[in-house]
Order: sequence, then C-alpha cells, then structure tokens
Amino acid sequence: MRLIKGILVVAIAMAWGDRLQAQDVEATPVQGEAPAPEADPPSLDEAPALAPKGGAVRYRSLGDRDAVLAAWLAGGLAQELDLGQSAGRRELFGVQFGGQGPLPLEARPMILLIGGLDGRSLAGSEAVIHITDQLMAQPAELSGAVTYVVVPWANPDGLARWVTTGSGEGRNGRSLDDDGDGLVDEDPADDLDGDGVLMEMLIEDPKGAWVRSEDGRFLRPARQGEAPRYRRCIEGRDDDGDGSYNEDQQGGVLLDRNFPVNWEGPWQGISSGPWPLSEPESLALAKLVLERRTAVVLLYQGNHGQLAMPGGMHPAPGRVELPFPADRPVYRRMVEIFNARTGRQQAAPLRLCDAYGEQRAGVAMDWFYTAAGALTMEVGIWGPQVLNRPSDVAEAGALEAARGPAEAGGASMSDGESLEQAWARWLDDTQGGLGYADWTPIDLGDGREALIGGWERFTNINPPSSLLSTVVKGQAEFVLDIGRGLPKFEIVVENLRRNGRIVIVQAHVRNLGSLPTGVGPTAAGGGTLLRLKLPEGVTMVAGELDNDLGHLPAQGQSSSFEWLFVAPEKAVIQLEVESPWAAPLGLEVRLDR
Amino acid sequence: MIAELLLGLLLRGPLQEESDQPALPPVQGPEEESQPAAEEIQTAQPEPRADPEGAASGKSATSSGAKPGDQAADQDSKAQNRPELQGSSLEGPRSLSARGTIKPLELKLDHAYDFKEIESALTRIADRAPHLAQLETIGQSAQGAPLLVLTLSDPSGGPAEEKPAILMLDYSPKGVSLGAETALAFVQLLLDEAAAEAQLEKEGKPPGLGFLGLKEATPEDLHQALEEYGQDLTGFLSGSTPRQVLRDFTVIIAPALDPDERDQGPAEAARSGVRYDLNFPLGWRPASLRPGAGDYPFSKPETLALGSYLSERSNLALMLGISSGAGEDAGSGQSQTPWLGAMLPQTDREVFRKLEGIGFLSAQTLARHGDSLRPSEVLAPWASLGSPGGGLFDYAFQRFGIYPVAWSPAPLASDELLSAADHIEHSVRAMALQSVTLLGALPRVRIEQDALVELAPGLWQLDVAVRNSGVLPTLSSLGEKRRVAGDVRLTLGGAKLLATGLRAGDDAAFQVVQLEATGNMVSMGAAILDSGETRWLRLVIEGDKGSTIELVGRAARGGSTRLKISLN
Repeated sequence: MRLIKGILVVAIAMAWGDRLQAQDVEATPVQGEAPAPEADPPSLDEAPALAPKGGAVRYRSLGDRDAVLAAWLAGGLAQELDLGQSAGRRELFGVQFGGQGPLPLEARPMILLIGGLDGRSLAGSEAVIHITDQLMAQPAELSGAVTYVVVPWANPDGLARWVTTGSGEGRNGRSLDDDGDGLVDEDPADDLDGDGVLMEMLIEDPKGAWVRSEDGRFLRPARQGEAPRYRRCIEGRDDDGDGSYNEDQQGGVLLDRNFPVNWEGPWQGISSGPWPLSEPESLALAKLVLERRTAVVLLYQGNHGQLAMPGGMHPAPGRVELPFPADRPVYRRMVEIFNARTGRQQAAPLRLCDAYGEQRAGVAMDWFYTAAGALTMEVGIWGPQVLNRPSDVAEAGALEAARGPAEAGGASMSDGESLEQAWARWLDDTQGGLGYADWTPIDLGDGREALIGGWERFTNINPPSSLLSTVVKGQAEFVLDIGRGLPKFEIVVENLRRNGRIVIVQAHVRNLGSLPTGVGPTAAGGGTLLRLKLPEGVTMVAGELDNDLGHLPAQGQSSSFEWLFVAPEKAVIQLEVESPWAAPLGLEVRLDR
Repeated sequence: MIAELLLGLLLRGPLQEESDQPALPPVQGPEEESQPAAEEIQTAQPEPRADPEGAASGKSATSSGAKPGDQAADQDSKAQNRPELQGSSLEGPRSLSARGTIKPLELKLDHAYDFKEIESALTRIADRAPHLAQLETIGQSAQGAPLLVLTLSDPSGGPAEEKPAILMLDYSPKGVSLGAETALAFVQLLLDEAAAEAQLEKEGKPPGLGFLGLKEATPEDLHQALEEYGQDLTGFLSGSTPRQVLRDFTVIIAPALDPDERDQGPAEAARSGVRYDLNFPLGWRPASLRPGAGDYPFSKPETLALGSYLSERSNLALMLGISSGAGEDAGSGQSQTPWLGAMLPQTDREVFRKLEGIGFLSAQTLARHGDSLRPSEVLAPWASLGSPGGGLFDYAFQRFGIYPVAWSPAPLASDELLSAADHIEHSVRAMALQSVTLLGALPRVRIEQDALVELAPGLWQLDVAVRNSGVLPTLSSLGEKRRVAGDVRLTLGGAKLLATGLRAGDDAAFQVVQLEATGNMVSMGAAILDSGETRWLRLVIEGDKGSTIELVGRAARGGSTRLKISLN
C-alpha cells in the first residue's frame, strides 16, 4: 500500500555542487563552542542529488549556480553580490537587479527574496529562482526605483545535507558540541538499513515523551500512565557509546533560529547557535538588510502553504509581541493580493507560530521586521492545502495520468487542525497513504532494537519536483505587485504667503503608494523625514528643519507642517522627503508670493 | 568473567573490612604530610578552619602589629581621620618583595582614570610581576583601542585556565563608576600582600590579609548574616594567604572593556550610539524598541570580543563589577528585578544570598577596623541589579551560569564630608578589600585518598573522595541547565582503569558506575559539586607495584586538581 522507504530517491542525477571560495567568511568565527569552519565540506555533498521523474523539471542546486547566473546576467540587469560563505565554506550566492532608473541599485529601496533559509525547503529555493526568471523576463515591468536582491540558497550547507540524505533538519555546517561532552559531532546519524536515506527512529523508553497515536503511523505526546513510550531521533546507532542516540550529529545551527528577537539558546533544545547571528550566513543576511534601504523581505520556506506574518512566538510576558497592531492592516492587504495572484484561499493573515502550529524562537522574520523595519513575510510554497485550487485540481489530474495518483490533489487545513494532522489527511485523501514509510524494526547493533520509518522525502517538506511549476504559480506576480505598491511621495505646498520679508509656508506629504512608508517601531528612526534646506540669507523663525512624519499609511498623507521665514524676494528653499522604502523626493519652493 | 569479579569487588562495600590488606588511613588534607603515598600537586593550602575564639577575642592574623611598619611612610594627613585596615595599604609601597620579583608599585587611585592611565597601570602591573601577570589583548574597539585583560595566577598551582577564576571588570565611561579604579586597586592589593607575605614569613609573623577568611567576624555578625541572608557562613571563617590565593585561583581584571567610551562623559557616551550594557544577547531587544541596544547583539566589536572571551573561559566562576546604573531600565534607574523571562533557579538564588552574606560580613569586618563602608556600598547579586536585559551580567549568568555580583556604591552627595578625591580613594580601597574577601568563596575541588588496597598482584582498589570546600558550587544550577559543561570527571594516568563505583555517602555502599572506562576517565555522575559536598569514588586499577599514578579531577567552574599516589 505505502511506498517502500527510499523509493523516491532511486532516480539520481545531478550532484549538489560546491562553490568553494578562498576568501574568509565575513563574520567573526565563533570561538569555543563554535569552532572554526571545517577544513573540508561534508563529504555527503559528493552524493548525488535527487532528480525528478521524467526529467522535465527538477530541483536546482548550488551546483547549478553558474547556469542560473549566466541566464540572469545575459539580460543585462543583474549583478552578482559577494555575500561571503557558509560555515561549511559554501558560497552564499546572491544577485541584485532592477529596472532602469536614476539611482544605483545599492541606493534604491530593496525587496529581498530569500530561499531555503530553513535548510530544507528546496521548493523555497526553486521559487526564488522561478520568480527571478519571471521578473527578468519582463524588464519593462520592473520599477526603476526598486532593487530586487535574491538569495536562492540561503542555507547551502543545510540544503546540501537535506537533498542528499534527508537529514540534518536544515542545520548548517558548523561543528558543535551539542551534548556538552567536549567532543564534536561524535554521534552522527547512520543509515542503518543502507538504503541511502535517513529516516526517523523510535526507541522504546519508559521515560520517552511520545506514544503512537490512534493512527499508528503518527505519534503524539504521551499522557500519564500511557505505554509503550518512545524517544524520537534520527536513524542511527549510539556511535559514542554514551547511551544516547545521535545526540551530537554532524553540524550545526538552524539559521532560521539564529536571529536575535525572541531568541532562545540551545539549552532549550533548539540548535539556535551559541548566540544570535553567530553564523556567517545569518550575519551576512543581517548586514545586507541593515546596509540597504530594506523595504520588503520575503522568505520562501516552510510547509504550511500560507503567507505568514511576523510572530514566531505566542505572546508572553517579557517577549516582543509581533506583529505590532498598527501593521495588521498591511498584512491583511498582503494576503488579499497573495490570494488574488496565486489562487490560494487564505482567510486571514497568520502569525508564523500559527502557520506552523508551534512556537518558533529567534526566526529571521521577527528580526527583519522589528530591527530593520522591513515588511517581512514567509511564503510557504508547499503545504497540505496548496493544490486545492480548482484550476490546480484539474491540472493535477493531467499530471496524474503521467505520474500516477500520488502527487495529485490537495487538502486544506480545517479549523483546529494541526499542521501534521493536515498533512496526514492530505496523505490519505490525495496520496492514498503513499509517502509515509511504516515503522519497521531495526537492529541497533548493541542488543537493542528500534523502529525506523516516517515521512518520505518529497512529500510533506517539499513537493515532488514535477509539481514545482504548479506550486510557484502567481508568485512572481505577487512580488511585482509589491514592487509597484511601494510608497511614492508627493510634497504638497498648501499655503505660501509673504508679508514684506516675512514668509509663511505650509506643506504636507502624500504617499501615493499602495503600501505604507514603513512598518514596525520608529523609536530609533526609520520613519519618514521631511527636511528643509535653506539657502544663505533665509532665516527660519518658527518650525523645524527636520520633521519626523512617522509612517504614512498607504494612499495617506501627513499632517500639515508650517514654517516661518525671514527671506529676501525670490529666495528658494528646498523641501526633501525621504524614507527607507521610497526614493527620496525634493521640491524647490520660491518664496516670492 | 573478569567483569563479574570486578562487579563483585565494587559492590562488596568497604573492602578493608573484609580484607587482610591494611588500608591506608584516610587522608585528611594536603597538609597531612605524614601521608607519603599521596601528594597533592596543586594544593598546599590548609583546610579551612573556623576560628571563633579568635574572632570573638578580636585576635586574628590581621591584628595590629602584623606589619607595623608598612603604614608609616605613606599615610597622608587625610588618612589620619580614617583609620587604616592593618596589614594592607593600596598606596603604600612594599619595601620588600616576596621573591624579589614583585616590584613596588604605586597607583594613586584618587581620581577617575582615563583609558591611557588604565593602559599604563596595567602595563606596569604586568611588568611588576611578570611571573604572575599576563596582559593580553582580546580584541579591539571600534576605534582601534586594545581591549585589555590582565590575568594574575601563580603557575606553580597549575595553568591559569585550569583554576577557578574571578573576573573583575568595568566598561563604563570615566567617572560613572569606580569599577576600573577598584579593579586596579584589587590586583595591587593582592600583589602588595603577596610581596609582604614572604617577608613576614621570614620574620616568623603571620601573613597579612587575615580578613580574607573573615576570621574577625564575630558570632553576632554571623548571627546577623544568618538572620538577614538565611545563610550559615560559619564554614567561611577561614583564611587563605595572598600567595595561596594566587596559587589556587586565577584573578582576572578587565578595567576598560569599552575604551572608546571610557574617555567620554556619560552624556556623550549615551548619545554615541550602541551602549555596551545593552548589546549582549540574553534579554536583548532591538534599538527600535530599546534605544542604544544596537541592531543586533554583539554588534559592537567590544561586546563581541568579550562574548568570545567568556565562551573560552570555562573556569570563570564569579564575575564582579561596580554597579553604575548602566544596566537599569533606561530612565527609571529604579528597577530591581531582571526582565521577565530571565531564569533564576532557587539553588542559585541561595548562592547569591551567600555571596550577599559574605559581602555583609566583609563590610562588618572592615567597619571593625574603622574602615567603615557606607550603607549602600553593599554587594548586589545579579538579580537585584534590575536589568532590562541585554547586559553583560545577564549574558554571563543566563548563558554560562557565571555568578555576577556588583558593589553598589552610593552616589557622592553634595554634603559629603570627604572631598571627591577622598571619596574615590576611600570607596576604591574599601571595595578592593572586600573584593579580595570574595576570593574565598570560589569553588575549591580537591581529591583526597581514602584507601588503597592491593587486591591481587597488579590489581588495586583505590578509594578517593572528591570535595568542594568552596562556597560556590562547581557549576551553577542554571549553568547545568544550560549544559555549559559536562559532569565532574576524574582521569587516571599511569595505570589502567578497569572499573569504577560511586557511593552517595560515607556509610553507603559503592554502586557500579562503569566496567569499562573510556580514556581512563570516569564521571562523578553530576556536573555540580555543591559547597561542602563530597563524593566518594572507588577505582579498580591495574598498575605495577611501586609505580606512581596521577588522578586529575576536572570540574567546570572548579578547575582542575591533581593527586599523585604511589602504588604501595
């Protein structure tokens, strides 16, 4: 009935290539707990990556970057970025581009697209490449006032491990002493049954936290008195003989838990790194966002299938509660556009923790939003409900003929349903149960037995590659809409009166864009600023040279400002308005009325 | 087969009761030199002993006459109104140095030092005692100034990084706190006293720094400490000499961790962007929500450098600073609790209370010498400093479980009787003296031999006790939760370790820990040896008669300790 474990990985083609460079990683290497990068990348990278059945569509990898880059550079719009290297010394590949415009790309408001930061979402990486392809294919549609920066493989170490063995949970290549025993990576996962894939493993343990659920395939937290209980871990033996299994695996840090806002340390059981932004990949992204005029960050990852807004953690005392109430209307609008463009049917904006059905500390999105003031969203390219659009059901039906029923159809999350329950329903309703390996006994070699099984790859984390073109539909249009909607300023002089040498001026600023001029707090700047520049001979008697407008709403305007000058006839003053999300605008005003 | 034999041996209980083999008498401590088979390399200090009689009668090693001539030359007229603590002087040069290598040094700590003065003072200290002091640069400030750390440690007691350590530091702009000056006074005091100790020894006089173990605390003091802090500190009434301190512990000072801001005034520093004490990861919030916190933790090179330094120093048990209000909630200055979400396990709360009690006792002792501290110059534990999060102390405790405490000097009132210079000099000296007292709280792990029995030719049963005689545990409870270190471990050298057993108490039977030792190493089954806690270990080893074996014990914050034993 169900697929035999590993059946999806028999078709093998492209190698997940390395892009090793000689230059140092920009970030300071973590001392002590996080030793210097390994001399050599993990050997698993030499293992071949998965190729799709049929060969028409496949997941591209860092090994394809030359071809991808060449195609992008050919259009004459793109420039390659130097973002440094990962902890495992793989290139952090990034490109910037934009329409023709007066400002250099570095000076324009930036829309940043990040793929696969979680180290597992190959579909997220593919979505970023697809969107970039689409945008570059229609240069006339690109605003000359915006820069697009794309980082398709933001976690190259984690993605390399995931695509080859389905292991690592997305951790990067940083070697760590996970269990505090002074040794590093001494108890890695092992392919016990030699099928080339690392599955989940259950070890019976009276102190285990899990029991098999009513549906014996899945597990749920154990209640008092229930047995048998299990510990869950990755497939492997107790290599270091300490009684624990795979507690100190190869690498590393989960990059999307390595950001500062609401960060929790590794002692909470998360591979969040020794400190926030301890990793070169996360620090490089953070610096990029801080150095640019970052308007929008889109993270393409996750298997929730939703457009999620900031809020990795549920509200609690002492925690930064996200998003800020004032910004919720913006996110509602984003969901409307997202639905319209992609055909998805999301009812309302979801915080990230709600999208996943679990708390997620230290996520990149919360920091991009809170510290950098960027409109940040996570796009779950794949999810149990993604293919439930009428048009897709029809299209998937066509695919079904070629590929069999396993990859067709979709399911949506019902109210109160967890993400895992939704996936279970998806599995049964649309896949006939195929894609989940039964729990099978395995000898651990130390006199103990365990069970291995669980989700196959290319089921609930990433879609089968043949569905890629389907699941990325409308994503490029969504990004274009965002670019078009960025704020544009107009300075309106309401009143200018002269009485001898005394001049009074009143003005306000309008935002013509369909997005506000910013989100998040403005305590440390980041709001819109209206600035006056006065020539010699003009004295300001009342009013301010720098006027903080805060965030202007979409299609909204500021309050009115008033200045009083002592100025000669025909004197010209300059009003300038600027904000991180919009190109600056200047207006010369002759004080001669 | 052999496993069963060893298992039987381990579970049989104290073998000497059943064996004809005479057991060696228990070793009472390293001073028991009648124990020829055991040689404790690292430690030669006497076991702590209470001296209630001396305390009650006012007799102590610090009684007047200990170094009568020391004060004569350098007492200025102001000091006449402020009786000096006998046996110590910060500004007085020691005419005689202990080994001819600790040279006299006079730092006039009566004003706020700028960075150049601090740098110069550290260099002079390092030059003064090159065999004890190491001055290193752990990074550079944004403007290129060196981030200086001075480590004092007598290498005869083992490498500096393997001994329990205290770090005294300051990062505030000049004049905001007296932390930098106090740190300099602290090491000057230690070196002065160490220099004097050898001469006193030659003269047959007791060493100085008797207050180190609070021998002069009275029963009333102790009772008051018990009442106010809920801690019985009787066991703390013991003394280490200055040279023992330098041999057993590592003393580290970092008086100017933010040198660029050091020479700025507080207002200028506040305007200059990222504040040092808001830029650490735990409890951090971005500058958009907390101005001065920076865009991300460790965005300042100065904080990143110290973060890296701390992650490399597993032996740091205690962190000591001077509260300047920098960590308090911006604007209010009144917050007395850490941010919501910060962790403080009950057992660590008790440890902090002990440290507070020690601060209280040391203040009482100083007061008895007429060197009265003002009421607010008390030792404040981390939790009562009221940080909003993102501070250095927050990071030290919440990340590594290092115990941070700070002196909280009172602000200088306009009607002060003393001049500003007097005030600085007085406060600095008082806090330095009390800081030395805190050294006695550091964990002290020792291995002691209980018994050695030859079971069969070449097969030995060795019973040892591993004890922490310090006030601090070998790891804080939070540090254990944070998994900053593994269990206390013993490693055997010179013989093969076949099996080990542990017993919970003096009378309990040994329980098997392991029958095969990986790397001749055995875990003590816990990361924490609490204050005064002893664990007993039975080792079954294979070694040649007459050979010497070495046991090395390692505890996270308790450092390393060694014991050599001859198999006879």
